[in-house]
Amino acid sequence: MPKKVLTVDDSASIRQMVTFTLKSAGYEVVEAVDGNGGLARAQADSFDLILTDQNMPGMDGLNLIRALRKLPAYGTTPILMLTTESSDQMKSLGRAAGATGWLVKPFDPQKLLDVVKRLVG
Amino acid sequence: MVFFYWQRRVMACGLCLISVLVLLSGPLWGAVAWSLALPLVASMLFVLHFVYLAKEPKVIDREEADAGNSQTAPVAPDCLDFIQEQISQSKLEVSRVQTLIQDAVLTLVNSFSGLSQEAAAQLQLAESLAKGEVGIDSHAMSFSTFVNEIANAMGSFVEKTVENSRLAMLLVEQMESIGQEMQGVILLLDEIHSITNQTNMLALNASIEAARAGEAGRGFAVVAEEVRHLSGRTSSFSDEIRNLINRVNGSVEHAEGLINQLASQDMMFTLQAKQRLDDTSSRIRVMDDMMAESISRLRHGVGLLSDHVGDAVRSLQFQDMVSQLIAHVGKRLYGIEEMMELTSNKQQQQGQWEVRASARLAELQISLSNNPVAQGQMQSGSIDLF
Repeated sequence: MPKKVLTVDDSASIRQMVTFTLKSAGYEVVEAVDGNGGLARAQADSFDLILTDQNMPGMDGLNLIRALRKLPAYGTTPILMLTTESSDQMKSLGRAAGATGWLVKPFDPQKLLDVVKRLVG
Repeated sequence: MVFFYWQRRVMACGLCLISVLVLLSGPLWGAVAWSLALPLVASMLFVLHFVYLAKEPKVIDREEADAGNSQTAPVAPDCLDFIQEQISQSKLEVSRVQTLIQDAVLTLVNSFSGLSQEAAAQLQLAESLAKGEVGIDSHAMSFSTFVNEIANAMGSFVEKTVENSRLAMLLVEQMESIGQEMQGVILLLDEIHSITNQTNMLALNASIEAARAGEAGRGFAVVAEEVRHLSGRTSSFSDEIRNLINRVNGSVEHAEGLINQLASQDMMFTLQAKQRLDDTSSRIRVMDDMMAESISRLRHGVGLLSDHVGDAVRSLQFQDMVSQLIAHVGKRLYGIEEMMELTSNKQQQQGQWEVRASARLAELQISLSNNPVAQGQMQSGSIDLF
């Protein structure tokens, strides 16, 4: 049974790259185009790991993490922020919101895979 | 009037600054963005900058302005319309640039993904071929396994053939022994022939002596004739037996030759076949080694390809970063447009317009101060696990 990953990003190319990278390693990947869509998909299904961008129309990544952490099903699920934001202030906000990790774009596919494998196997 | 003067001055400087920032951020944007987005945005901003400067009022001194001696000339309404129109067009064209880059990058990512997947599939196929896993059912075996089984079967066959040859040689020896025994029988027949001749001679002498005895020897003459007759029949039988033995001897010698020939032919054929099979096995082993070497190189090549695709995937993320930067530049344009609107004559005719403009200006300064993309290069971003 492959592990399921939800990737939330308003950039189609980033979603495509994340999906390609993780699918090549055997993960099942579901895409959402913004925070609200990501929250809806997370509530409708069950995921082993969630990757989200920060700057998105509607609900941003930090608010998505806060909303997900309020759901019992995602209390301990690894949630990674994948964003161009790299300031320490934003990382602190992410940590406080409940993010498991902070990955700054551009991501290296192999490093992303290593992190995902480390978190969900 | 003083406000209009500073408004235009700030606008012109702002546009100039943005265009310089856009140009300086070129190395981050990559070749596609450089060729598509930068000239467009930069040239647009420079055009706006010069438009502002061209319409700038003559030299104004704040004190003179405060004293009511301003010599400024109002900006013509059609110029403001032109500027607003250009900003609107810029927003549309920036949006088109983003769409173009995104489409191109999506296609490239698809292409690289397909390339990588195809290479991995080819490697898997080559490895399956080498292992002999490509078969229509579970009984499929590798070519090397097949040859090994044939070699084993041929080895057993050669052992059996050698054993048969050994038995054939024993048979040949037995044939030679039979031939020698036949020669002994022929010698005995010669002895019988000699005895028969002597018996015949004795019977002839007895007949002569019986004839000399006259009537008294008549009976003895009959006996002597009968003995001579028996001697002749014995000689005849002896000759027939000799002929038969000679024919049997010839047949044995012929059989011996055939068995000898058969034994030597079988061995030669089998040994030649085994030699050919050994040669084939050697060639197959060489081919196996070459195939293993080729697959190793293919695996290495696919690994390199995967690394290159990884680099391409990382580099193609410039689209997302550039898109965010362009969007940020767009926000700056919106801010400029909004401030122009807020400071227009129409707005100034309404009450409290300065308060509204100042409040909005403060909001814009805060929202535009945070650039979402801090990276200046395309190297892999940091990873922090909390």
